[in-house]
Amino acid sequence: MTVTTRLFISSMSFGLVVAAIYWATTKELVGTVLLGLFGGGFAFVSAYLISIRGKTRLDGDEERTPAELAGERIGVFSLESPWPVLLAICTAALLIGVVLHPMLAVLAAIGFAVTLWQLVRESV
Amino acid sequence: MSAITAPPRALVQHGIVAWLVTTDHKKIGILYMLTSLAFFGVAGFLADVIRLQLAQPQETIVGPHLYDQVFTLHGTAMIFLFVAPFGFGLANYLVPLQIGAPDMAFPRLNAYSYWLFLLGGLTVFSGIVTQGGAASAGWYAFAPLSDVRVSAGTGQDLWFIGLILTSISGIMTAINLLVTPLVFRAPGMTMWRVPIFTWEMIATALMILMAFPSLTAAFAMLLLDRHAGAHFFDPGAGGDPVLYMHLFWFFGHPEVYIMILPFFGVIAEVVGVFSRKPIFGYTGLVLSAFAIAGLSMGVWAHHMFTTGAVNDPFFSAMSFLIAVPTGIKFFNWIGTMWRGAISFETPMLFAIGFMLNFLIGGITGIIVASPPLDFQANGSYFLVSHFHYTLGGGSMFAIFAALYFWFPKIWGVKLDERLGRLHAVLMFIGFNLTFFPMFVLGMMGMPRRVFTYSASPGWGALNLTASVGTLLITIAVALFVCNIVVSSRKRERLPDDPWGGGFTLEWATSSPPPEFNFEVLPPIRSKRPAFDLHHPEHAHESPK
Repeated sequence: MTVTTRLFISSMSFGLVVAAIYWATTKELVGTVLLGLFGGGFAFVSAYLISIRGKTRLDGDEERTPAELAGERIGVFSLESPWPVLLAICTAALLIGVVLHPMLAVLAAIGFAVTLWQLVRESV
Repeated sequence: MSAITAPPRALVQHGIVAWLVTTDHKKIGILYMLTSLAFFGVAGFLADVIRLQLAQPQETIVGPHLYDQVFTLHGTAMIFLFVAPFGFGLANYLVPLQIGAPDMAFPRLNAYSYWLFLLGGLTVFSGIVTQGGAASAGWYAFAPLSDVRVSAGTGQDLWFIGLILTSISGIMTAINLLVTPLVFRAPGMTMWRVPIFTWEMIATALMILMAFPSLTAAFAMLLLDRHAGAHFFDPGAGGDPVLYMHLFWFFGHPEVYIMILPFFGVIAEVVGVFSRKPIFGYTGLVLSAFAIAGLSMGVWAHHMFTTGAVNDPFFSAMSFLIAVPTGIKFFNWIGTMWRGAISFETPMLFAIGFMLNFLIGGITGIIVASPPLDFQANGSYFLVSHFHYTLGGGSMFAIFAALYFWFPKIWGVKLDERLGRLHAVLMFIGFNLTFFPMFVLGMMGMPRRVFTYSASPGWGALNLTASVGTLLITIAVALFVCNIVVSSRKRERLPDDPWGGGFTLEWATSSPPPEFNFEVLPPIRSKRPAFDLHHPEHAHESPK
């Protein structure tokens, strides 16, 4: 089992055990749910990591050197994109609009959808 | 999965546009750090106003309503917009470098996170120009103090909206900070060779993912109470204000560790380099970070002892337990220094200041984790002093240690040592002069968040001492700004490792690093790959 998987499984176990102890000692619902979600979230990731075991080398390879793998394609890293800043502006305007000004919310929602679409198009 | 290089792409944009559209982790890291330091400047100014107002009994520089706004914005800026975001910025800059990756896992998401943080911070402060002024319900905005009947102004709405934005930003930053070191490490960089700072960021990211959604939910519910006729926290309509406290502190206490774990990592890196020794107890440092992260999720209601609505023994025991892994960290830092060839450059002075201050903050934390003592201390200046010792004397000192330590790497300029040492000493004296008297004031019964006090309890001299201390801190920070200006004029070409003993991979590339970070990655055969590269004669001493 990889270090990464052990990390998530131990975090999950800790969360669930503390949630159980908390419920047993307090019978208080809000904290139990929050602690349960803490354990449950890690359970979700742990299950995924167990399901892909053997297919990846998440812990890395101790003996290989960077030179041996030079040229391996690991993905495309963009250096710049105009869409994140525009999407952030639309997100802020949308939230402010929803609370304080419906018309602003409508305009921001349109802007958000268009910008998100452009961001997705650029990313794929 | 391994990262070695990435396809180079020509930069198209220049000047300010290049910064607006950048997705480069180093530029985003710099933006995060500069923005958080700007918020620190504003929050520091507000602290000066607070200390001026409290310097003498019956002072009238600001009235009660303005004072409420000032301390609310001071706390908000320090907690949400300075300490934690500075850690995000530092991690943005360093994590890919330390693991030999070309960038963060999700560069566009990273840029989006930064801009949301900036806009969130500006939204919080935009309340100043609204009718009724900025938010004034304190940085935890307890219901019903923050409901629409008590805090009707738009400023309070903007405060919630701004912090929801920064909260979303934090969650997305955490996703990047978790995925990048788990899947983008260079060949040879096994998990047990990952630098301590990066490990601390992994633990921090896990805490953020667990804690921040609770805050976002609490603020969204409060906005629904304020504007949509909901009554989640309205006791008059069957709601429960204690529910808000649970949701807020389920975020709020892990947040304390979100603000300190990155800087535990900074201290480990700094102490190792300036003790000229490998870090003592690497595994203990890593495991203690996760122990702190886990335990911190189960201590939230020690902030609620005085409500009488929580299980005191459970939360008290969990809070005491956190002292154990924190003690392990102290043990490891001291073990690293033990019999080392210690040199007292500015980052090391700040690291030692951090340890002394944080120790006081930690010990007084054990005091307030005890319910009977907390009932005495909770609403008093004792508590103010305690959390300033952990976050001001702790995180802020570590932030300056980090700034001096990595400034040559980030900007290619080494800051002046004489000014730096003066800054460190002045700041240590100023800090303790400001906050130690507050322990005594708290024990004498001075309540927190009062805008003035009468002369009769005899609090005047200690308050004046605290205000003089704040003046010294302000002068120390001004010295830091002067240092940057003076040092930048003496720009010279720096080597990859200007300190001459750097452990981690960022010291194996140019200062500042090129696009995609490395021209050539060195072999990674130990926990100190950069040290092995520059000192091959001692490579056999590096822990594998």
